[in-house]
Amino acid sequence: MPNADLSPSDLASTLHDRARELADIARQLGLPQLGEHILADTDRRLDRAQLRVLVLGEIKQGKSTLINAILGEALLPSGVTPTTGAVVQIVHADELGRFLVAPDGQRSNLEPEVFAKLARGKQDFVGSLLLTTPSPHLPPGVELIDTPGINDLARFRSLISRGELPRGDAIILVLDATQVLKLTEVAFLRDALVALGGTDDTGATLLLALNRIDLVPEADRPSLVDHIHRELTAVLPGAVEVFQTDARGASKQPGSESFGAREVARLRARLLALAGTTRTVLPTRTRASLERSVDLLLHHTAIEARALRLEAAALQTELAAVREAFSQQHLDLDHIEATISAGRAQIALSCHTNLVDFRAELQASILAQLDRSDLRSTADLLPGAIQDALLHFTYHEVERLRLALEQLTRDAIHTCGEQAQRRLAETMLNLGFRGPAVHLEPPSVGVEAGTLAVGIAGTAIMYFGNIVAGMLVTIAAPLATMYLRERSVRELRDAARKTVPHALTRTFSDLEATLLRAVDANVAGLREYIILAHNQLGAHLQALLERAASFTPALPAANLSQEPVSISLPQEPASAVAPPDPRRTALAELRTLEQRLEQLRSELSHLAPTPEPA
Amino acid sequence: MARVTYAYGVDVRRFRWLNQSMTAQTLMRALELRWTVVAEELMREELQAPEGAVALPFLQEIVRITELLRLTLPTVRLLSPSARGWPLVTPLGNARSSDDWLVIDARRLAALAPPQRAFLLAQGLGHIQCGHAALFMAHFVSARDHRAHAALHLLMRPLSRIAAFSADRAGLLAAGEFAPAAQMLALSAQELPPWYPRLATLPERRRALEEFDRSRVVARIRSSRRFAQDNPSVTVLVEQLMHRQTPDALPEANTAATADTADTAAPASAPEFTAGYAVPADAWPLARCDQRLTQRLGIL
Repeated sequence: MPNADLSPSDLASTLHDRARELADIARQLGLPQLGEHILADTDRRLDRAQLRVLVLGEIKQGKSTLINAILGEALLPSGVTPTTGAVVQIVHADELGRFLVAPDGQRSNLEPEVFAKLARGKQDFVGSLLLTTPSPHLPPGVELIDTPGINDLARFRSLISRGELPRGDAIILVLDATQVLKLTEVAFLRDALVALGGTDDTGATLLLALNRIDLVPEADRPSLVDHIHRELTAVLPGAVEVFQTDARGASKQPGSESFGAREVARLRARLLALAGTTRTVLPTRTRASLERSVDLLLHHTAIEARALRLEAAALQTELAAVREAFSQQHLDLDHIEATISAGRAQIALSCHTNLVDFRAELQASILAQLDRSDLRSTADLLPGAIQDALLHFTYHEVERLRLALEQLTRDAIHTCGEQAQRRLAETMLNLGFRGPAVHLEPPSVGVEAGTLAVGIAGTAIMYFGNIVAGMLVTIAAPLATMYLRERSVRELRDAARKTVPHALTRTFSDLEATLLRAVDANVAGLREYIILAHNQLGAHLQALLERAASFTPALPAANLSQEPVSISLPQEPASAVAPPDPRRTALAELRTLEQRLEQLRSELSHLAPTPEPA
Repeated sequence: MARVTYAYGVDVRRFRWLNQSMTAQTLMRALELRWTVVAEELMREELQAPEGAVALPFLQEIVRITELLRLTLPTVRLLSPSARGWPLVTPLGNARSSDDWLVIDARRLAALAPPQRAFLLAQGLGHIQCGHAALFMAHFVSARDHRAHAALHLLMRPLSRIAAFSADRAGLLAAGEFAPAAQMLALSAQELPPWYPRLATLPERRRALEEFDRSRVVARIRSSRRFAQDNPSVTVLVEQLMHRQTPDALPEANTAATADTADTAAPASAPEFTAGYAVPADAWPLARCDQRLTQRLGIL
């Protein structure tokens, strides 16, 4: 659907259709829960016009206090020790209410003490917490999500917060003004942007709340904000909206006119403004969110495709590894990130070493060959031979990189997909069409023409001259030709000796950059997969591998006590058609799903609403 | 490929002389020395190596055509957005065939239907396979000097007037049907840059292509395609089932291409021709096509 300009209602209808289709694909892949999430988020955005604002940050940055300050009343528990242990959804309603929402949507009323206990994570529960408030500061189109700290020592809590990322529409990242932008916060911000699909053309909004600004001397505040803008330029190229809040002060004295309190009021006004843009923002957010779902499903299909090609025993081993690794829902992001970074560095280093070694070997071999080869083989065959040698080496190097990248992926998520293989195959395809690495200029025309002229002159004199001249030419012409040819070869060799080292340096530098681009793209894809699937990663991987195992015929158990195997003729008539291999059929269906997902991505990227008339 | 599709033709013989004889090589090397410099300039200003996702579909298409016609893979260069005045597909290369380039205008090619695109790419690949890249290079390089260019046009005339036919045949084999091939033949003869070699006239080329369309070679390729269509692989079967369930999802380009080819299979398609997988008895032997063409051109 190229560049479809649709009316808002048509766009909403199209997005609903695409969401249903994606949910259906997720179900076909054995991931019904993912499908339900896709549908639920689409309904929330398009039917209920609810903009989800996630309030995120490290522990004890004052997230709950900031929400209380925005709402103008202390509805959420806040205190000295980490207080939020569960996700709390805060929405506008006619009456104040605290609820536990069961997975089937059933609401049950909670007493304030019980609600506070559950919100602090002191007691396990099934479902989610909902707080309704008639506060005029929370517009009806916005729902605030209070989250546990992203660096909570209880890993499960931090996972909950990060798991909310792909479903958010706007993020308020709460930072401590006294120790602003730690490395972990920048890394989290990067993950958040991946989960949202960036902030360009996705409708996503990122706000930074620089909390506890009252603890920073007034004179230092502008330089602090400058520092933030500078640090975030690499991560977030556009302008970042910063609010220098004093949540505690604003919460204790709602009518305060201090700088920090005014900034809280400004943040509140920004949320009101966001609520006014839901009609335009939410369809865009839906489209971006569906695109991210397509990306996630494509990662899943690549995992499934490889699993379907595994032998039964190997598949069962991987399935057991995934079950064991994710049995406790423990997704240690720091450990995975460290594994990925170390693995990438190791791969890059070994790739560089291999290229340097091969370059030295190739150059020595070319220069040695130059001394032996004649004019024709140097000018005509050598460039092609160098290209062949280079491609041959690259094939081996790419295969080594594939194994290394798959091992890296297995180290991170205990299984792997076809992504590395596909990406490197694409890279190889491009490299195969780049042409010879070394261009050798042909010998000079003068020498060539001289050789030709001597031959013609000699023949003419032989025919038309006298015997003495003929004898002289018989001796002189071949000698002159030999001299000129030898000179021609020498010129070519000199040119080659000058050209080859530079050409090889350029070529190997390009080759290394190309291979590292493929490695980096694969590593970025792995990170993206982990961020998008997140706390569902273990469940999704198990479901995918189990689905693949269901198509894979189990190996017959070895039983030596049985009768010896005898070769017998088949019982069925020769014309009987063998039943189709279920794995082959499943793989073909998977390829079709992948093609449809690619089409959906393309269609979604071209969806744009028609601007409404003024 | 050229030996099979244009057997004993003068095309191959003449270009073998151009690319291998000492006399011709002496002349060609004067141009080739300049080609090395021009090639570097082109890579800086107008062309780019195939990189990333944009080039991928074209590379896959070229691989498919080279497998179908059993050709060798060329070096591929894409026109950069600022490049102007290039044909859709241009073969270029040195006289030693050690660095043959296929320059493609990816943006304009992407807008064509698949058989049309296949014709142009295969035509370019056919030129390279027959050693014509040096002819195009010689004209391209000499174009900077008007007098040298005029002299080269004159000198190369016996080569350039016979260079198009084999490449057109390769194009038809890859396109599969005559109508898209004829459309693209007309397009490839229009709006050519001033440096372009003076190939045979469009009516001559079209008539030669019509004759080749009746040959057993084309009939064999068509029957093998029909067989593949009637006995699809599992992947294709599943895809067809999907499309049957959701007919609206069929891409527009494919629909257009199917309609095009359905309308215009005409010239050589007798009823019995489309019935089975066998090559029809009344299909022409290739020698008959060659004989008519060489007689018309008066090159014997």
